[in-house]
Amino acid sequence: MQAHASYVDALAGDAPPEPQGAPPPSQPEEAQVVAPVPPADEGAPSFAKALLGDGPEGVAAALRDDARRFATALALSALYGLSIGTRDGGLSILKHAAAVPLAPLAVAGLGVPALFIVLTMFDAPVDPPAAVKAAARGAATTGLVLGGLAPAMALFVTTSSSRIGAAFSAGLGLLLAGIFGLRAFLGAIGTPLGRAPAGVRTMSGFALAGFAIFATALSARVWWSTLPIFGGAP
Amino acid sequence: MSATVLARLLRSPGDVARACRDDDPEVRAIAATSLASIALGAAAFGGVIGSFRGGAQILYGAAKVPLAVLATLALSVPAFHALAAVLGRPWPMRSIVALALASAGRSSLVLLAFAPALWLMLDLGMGYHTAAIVASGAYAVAGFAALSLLVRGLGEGKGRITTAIAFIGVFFAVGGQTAWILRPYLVRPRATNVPFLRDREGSFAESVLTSLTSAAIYSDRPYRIDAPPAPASDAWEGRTRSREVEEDFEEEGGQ
Repeated sequence: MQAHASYVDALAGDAPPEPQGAPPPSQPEEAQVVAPVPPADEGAPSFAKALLGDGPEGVAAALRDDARRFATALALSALYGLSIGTRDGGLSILKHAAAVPLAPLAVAGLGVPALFIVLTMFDAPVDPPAAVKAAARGAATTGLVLGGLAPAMALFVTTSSSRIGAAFSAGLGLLLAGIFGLRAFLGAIGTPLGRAPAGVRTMSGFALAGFAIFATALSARVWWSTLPIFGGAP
Repeated sequence: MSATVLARLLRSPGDVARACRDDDPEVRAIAATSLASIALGAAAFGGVIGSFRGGAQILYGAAKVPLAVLATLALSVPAFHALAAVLGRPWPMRSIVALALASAGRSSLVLLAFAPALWLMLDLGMGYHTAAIVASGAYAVAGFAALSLLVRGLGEGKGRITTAIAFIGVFFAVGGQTAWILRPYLVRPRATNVPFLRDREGSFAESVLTSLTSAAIYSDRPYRIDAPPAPASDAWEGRTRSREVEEDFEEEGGQ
């Protein structure tokens, strides 16, 4: 499948997607031994897959991988800040770039430890590495969506004549990314909870719902008070 | 530009979508042909729309419609890539680029097919508003042609509809805003000055909201451009009349 790989492949290190629904080609048994067909995803994973996929085994390697994901997520969030800062230009670009990553940082630093304590009190099967991994996954999802929306958002904020329209567009992007990030976090931390007893699952569900409300309110508070496009931190 | 690929773009959107998604060797040919289709089809359609006014507007239209399509793609593709990834399709960027280009190429070919018929209707004296509606209808058909390829390209699996809806939402928002800032396309023949771009004026979303509000207000009551000033309680209506609304009534003799 990679026989046609171009120089772009070498530069980007992207792998083609897995073919969906296509049955694997049948080969004689001896042919499979001599020249096994490599899996479609054997090459270096795409940027998105590396950011959102499963990490390595082992605590130390997993922590390094989570730190890498988190740093990438913050950088992509800052990219979104750069794009919405283009409306005012100058120093405002840097202010927005610094402010957008604050919300995922605050949620990960304040909300996730609190959630972990509450879940542990209910004897939920969640350990610190799993909580860190879920936080990194959620932040990476938020960052990826923000980074992807950044070029389009630059268009919206610079071409809208009213400031309210620009702020509304910027807020919509943040809301969308926040929803996807929360969804990814809850999915990652909720998976082991499925094996817990019914009572623990119920209490954990309440805790996760409370976390979702807290994370939403905290993100809104941070962005509202720090982003100049919303009138915060002039 | 390959005639074979052109035929496949029109006849077998599913095959083309699969080739883009699976990064087949022919993706380069598909991308090149799609780019040529966008340049040719969108330019022809834009030129025909510009021919309603004639003169420089033909060139402006021929330049601006392909520009709007390509700018929309350039700004939307990173969002497509991110949304597809978080919805369970973490494909390489080049697969998304190829899929988006092929979709836009297919829609541009549909616009190319509409161009002669639209030109004939304009030549036979079609009015401004009818021309706007017919052009919008052509865009809608072209959009569906692109959508059919795009949805096939998403393949089977969980989150297909959600991903398609997310793509459509991003594409319409970005495409609408890009097209909005590149106005005007359809210009009345009596217009003396034809600007390449209008001044910055609201946004696409604000314009849609204003138009919907105006339509709701004026749909159930008579309107006259030379009517006496509205009473204080009705003054809000006066503020919602956009320049386009005023021009429309001037064009139609204030009826």
